Amino acid sequence: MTKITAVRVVATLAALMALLYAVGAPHVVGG
Amino acid sequence: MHRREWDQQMPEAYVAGLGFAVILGRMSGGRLAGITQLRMRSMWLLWLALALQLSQYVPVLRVDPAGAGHRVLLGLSYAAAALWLSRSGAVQPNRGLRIGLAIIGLGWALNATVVVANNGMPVSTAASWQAGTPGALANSTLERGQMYKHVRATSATRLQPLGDVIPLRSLHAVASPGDVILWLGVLITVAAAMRLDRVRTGQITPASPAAPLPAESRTGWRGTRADSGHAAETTAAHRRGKEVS
Repeated sequence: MTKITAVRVVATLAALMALLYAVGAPHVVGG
Repeated sequence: MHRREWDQQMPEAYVAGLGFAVILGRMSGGRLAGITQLRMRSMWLLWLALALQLSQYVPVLRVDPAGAGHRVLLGLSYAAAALWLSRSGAVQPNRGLRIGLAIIGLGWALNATVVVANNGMPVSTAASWQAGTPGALANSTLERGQMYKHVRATSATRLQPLGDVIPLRSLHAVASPGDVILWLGVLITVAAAMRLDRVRTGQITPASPAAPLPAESRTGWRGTRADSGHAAETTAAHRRGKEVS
């Protein structure tokens, strides 16, 4: 995997995480 | 940013969930680099959706959680996410990716409906008791009425079954049906993207023929020509595979 590909993989995962955060709404109540 | 409030948005669970999706993608024959096969359009919409919500962690930007401004902010955030999903879904090169994003869209619809109807995601107290501990509940920002994206479910709550009613004991969290569908969509999307990369290079056989890239998506990720070289390489490799066979 080239550096550029690695950066794009991380960017795509970050975008998916942003999507999960923006759309999802689970609530943590602690342990 | 208030650490306690950030905790209650499950960042670790998001990282772990995406890691699980990547593992599933690997187990289904895909490879990590393939995740870049996911086409994304108008990324500013997604960042806007995120920024609108994160702005509520900044005291000077915070709006009254019970006011109309809060409802508008949440509505704009969910609308921006929907536009991003719609624009990105239209340019996916393969049916698996389109299905994955459609399922994410369904999760969005369920969550957006109940959030807008209640000015926040209603959290079931009963489900919270099942998922957490009394001490944690006492310290919860939700119990203090301060959690910007969530509200406590009451008898006046609209569409309560779509709220956070599913206790996840192992995560000490409560999720909504929309959350579950959203995660399912992400799992399918990641697995499909990772697998698509190997289908294109002829390393595995597709379950169904991959559709040709739409003209506007041939320019690559985020509308740049960054991966046009990669596309040419994979197409050439695919052709070589055909010649050999």
